[in-house]
Amino acid sequence: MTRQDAPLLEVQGLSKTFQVGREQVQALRGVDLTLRPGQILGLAGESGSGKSTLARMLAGSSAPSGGDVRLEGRSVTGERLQGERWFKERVQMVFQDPATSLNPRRTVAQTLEVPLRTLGLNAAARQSRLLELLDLVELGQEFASSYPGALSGGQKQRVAVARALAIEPRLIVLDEPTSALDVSVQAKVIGLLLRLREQLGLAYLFISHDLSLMRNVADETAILYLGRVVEQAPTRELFARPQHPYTRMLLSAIPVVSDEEARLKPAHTAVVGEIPSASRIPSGCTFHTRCPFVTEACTRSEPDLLDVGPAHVARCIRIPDLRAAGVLP
Amino acid sequence: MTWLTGTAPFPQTGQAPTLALDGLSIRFARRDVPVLDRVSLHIRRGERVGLVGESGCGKSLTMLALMGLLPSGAQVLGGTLSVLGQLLAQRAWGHARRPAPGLAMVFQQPTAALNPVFTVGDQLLAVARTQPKQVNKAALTTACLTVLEQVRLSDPRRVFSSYPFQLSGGMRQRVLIALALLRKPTLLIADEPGTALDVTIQAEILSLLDDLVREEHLALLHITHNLGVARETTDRVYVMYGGRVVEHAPTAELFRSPSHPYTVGLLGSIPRLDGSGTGVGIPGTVPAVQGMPPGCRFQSRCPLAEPACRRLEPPPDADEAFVSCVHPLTATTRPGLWT
Amino acid sequence: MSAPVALLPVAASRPGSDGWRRFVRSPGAALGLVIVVLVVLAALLAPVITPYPQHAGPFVDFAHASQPPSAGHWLGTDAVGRDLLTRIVFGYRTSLLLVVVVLSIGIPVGVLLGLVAGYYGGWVESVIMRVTDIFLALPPLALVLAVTSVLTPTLVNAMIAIGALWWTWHTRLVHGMVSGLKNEDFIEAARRAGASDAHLLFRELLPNVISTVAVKTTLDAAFVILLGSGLSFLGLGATPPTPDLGTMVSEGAKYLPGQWWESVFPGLAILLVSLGFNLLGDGLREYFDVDVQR
Repeated sequence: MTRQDAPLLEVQGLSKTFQVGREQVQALRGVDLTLRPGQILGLAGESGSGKSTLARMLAGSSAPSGGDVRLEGRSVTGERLQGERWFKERVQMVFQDPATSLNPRRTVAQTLEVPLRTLGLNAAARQSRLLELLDLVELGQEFASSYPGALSGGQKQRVAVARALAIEPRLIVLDEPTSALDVSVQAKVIGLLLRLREQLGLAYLFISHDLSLMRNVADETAILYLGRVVEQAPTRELFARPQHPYTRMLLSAIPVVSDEEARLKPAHTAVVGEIPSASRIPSGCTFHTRCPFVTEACTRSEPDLLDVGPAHVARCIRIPDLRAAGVLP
Repeated sequence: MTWLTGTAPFPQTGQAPTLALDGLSIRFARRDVPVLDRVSLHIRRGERVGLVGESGCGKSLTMLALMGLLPSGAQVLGGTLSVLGQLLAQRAWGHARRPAPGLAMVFQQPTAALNPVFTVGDQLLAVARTQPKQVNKAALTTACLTVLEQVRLSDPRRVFSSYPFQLSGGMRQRVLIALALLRKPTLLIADEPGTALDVTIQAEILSLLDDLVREEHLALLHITHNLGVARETTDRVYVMYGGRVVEHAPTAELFRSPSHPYTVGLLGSIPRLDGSGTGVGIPGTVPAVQGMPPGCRFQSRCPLAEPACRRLEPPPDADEAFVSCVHPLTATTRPGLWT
Repeated sequence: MSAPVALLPVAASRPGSDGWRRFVRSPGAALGLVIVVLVVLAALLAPVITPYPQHAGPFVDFAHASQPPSAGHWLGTDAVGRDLLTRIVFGYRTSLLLVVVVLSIGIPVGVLLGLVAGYYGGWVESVIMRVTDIFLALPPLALVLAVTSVLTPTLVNAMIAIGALWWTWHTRLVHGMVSGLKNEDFIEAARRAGASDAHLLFRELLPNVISTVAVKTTLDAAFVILLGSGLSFLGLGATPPTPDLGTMVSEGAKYLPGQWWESVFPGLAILLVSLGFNLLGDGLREYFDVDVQR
């Protein structure tokens, strides 16, 4: 394996349990991921899937309850390590809501100063780097003295991206970076993110509930449900041949804007119930309470990830049968 | 001033529309430029009409005007509203603080729209009591349980005695629909229903609304920023931008051959399931109200802008399909407009 | 998508010129500002603008004692013949001095403790807030009376006593705000970018808290003046012959209703300055209200 291919981020058995009042909330229950330099890994899931918890953990904002995280081969599981400068210089985050991710009382320049100071640049270097960053995210220099209140949602997100880039990280965790934006603005911000990936060789951990967006952004996509990955594959493969019943349910529910796309969706799967609470996780396969293909065996034990195609895994024991019956591609 | 009327008038034109909003203009105090400029919508029973646009287009303000919930700074400059053929006095909508009879609204946020310290039953009863013909508590309660059944809640009695926090997001949204149904509306206004919920639950809510429109022969005004939702759940669509309606067409036609440059740009910005991309977006941003040019409000961002655009008036007829544009796009001019 | 907010004129997150318009829209805000400015100017220029500056010191003139308002003495004279107008203006000096001393001790201490308690949490927060709670549980006047009676009842001691408990209100206010703010994304983002605790406290959190503190400060000023006057009324304030509004009210009260001006005018003077600060505070609240608009 050449240096180039060495994984940037390796996650094994990551779990996180919260104590909320008297209940234990298992937000993550053993997630394995690998991210290579320059790769975009997409994490998709609905509310309660654990994707935001995972994002915050990998960005270094909270420590895992269990499992192992390695960045560039070095273990970073403890909270203290994630507070280290070494970690912050490599992993940055773009938050979902542009309105709350920028301090309303600080100008754009003041906000961008923070990571630049961490880099240890002198005043002149900081100033020129500031202008470079604004240029990089396609914002005019006049925005340096603006307060967030004077910026549109798209402009605020560009500032958030500039802040993440300032410290020259290798990996950026993006937690629903465009879901608070209008779609015409989203297209521009996504375009910017993809261009920056090419230009700077960044890796992204891209979290979203919008599967159509994921289809066009991520190289590889993982679907999360109740704290575990239930299906994962290179994006094109996942969307062409979704195997897990939950993935199929999600895909069939996406509203699309053309007949061609409608034909690409799996046959409409009636939605049963809502996602159970993460403090009362169902036994066996956690999806069994809502699955149209459930059998008795599904309630006994949680399946492992099975190989179902090229670099394609899914956590469901029914897949071979469903394939044989022609239900699955 | 040009607009296309490519298709025949919509069916049922003979009947008076359930809701006829004509020429609504609103401005905020001390601003010269109206924030809504002569917006017209017509909706009939059994029709599902979409009102789509991005933030700042005025769809929310239009909805507030219909429901009588305009903020105090908003001044109605003009416009008439008729429900079932009856022209309403201005004091019955706009700032009335109560919806005109026959109208009901389903709010957007299931969490925010329900009072957390009262049970669902209490909140339903509060609405039921305002309806004529309901007298004793038993009859009111029955009415409430009936609407809870109508929205397909599996255990209406349990929901009735529950507090909002004890219900899931999907159930809360159904409760909001039930609250609207209590008013026995002829027109239901749904403001981004299910947006705050997971896509699977949203699909169920939208399917429920479809069923209700059919079963109760309602008229539905569906307000959304999500074009995919609009395509799958409406019969025709009004597209708004900058306080004006810029395009109006049957849904299938709008999505197959959009004619307004904004609509084309908008559709082009939507990520496609076939992986063909996320589009380019639309350069620029919505100008502030004071900065709106005369005539077409999309001029500042439109690659086809020309002097004639400054004289463009909003279309006169809300029943016909139209494109409010000096140079509507065709199959040849459409591709390559936004690259 | 929320309602018409997107169509409202975009509010900068800094007050700016738009803030001034909002300020004057608040009823009485402009009036409050005018009153406060006039009182401050009057107090500063007291020796220059008053007709009988020497009456502010040890001076007696029994020939002119207890005279009603006249051309020579616009507000009349007190029981020992001193011009009431002059003594009231000098009395403002005393009151404003009290405000300055108390608030310049109380506010920085209170804000700092609130920042630290709210940000760090844990035992630091517990200790600070429990001490704050204890002080808040005691009725302010009783505490001040207790302190000043232990020490000698002078104006300086009154200021110390009041200042010693003024921080508690600000600590509680700031602690509440910071506890919420510290969980905001922008704080986490700054931490991710390498900001130190000091930076987070003073450059990220403090600016978000300062406008609320400013509004409270003006309202505090009014209350401090009233509290100080109350103490003087009870004989625990400035020592004679230093002019003090509260003392003047209490001394003058003996002559009600006959020589009513001796207590009514000082009383009105207290009312005027408190009202001024209150109205100013309301105006400031409007001025800073930008935060609410998004």
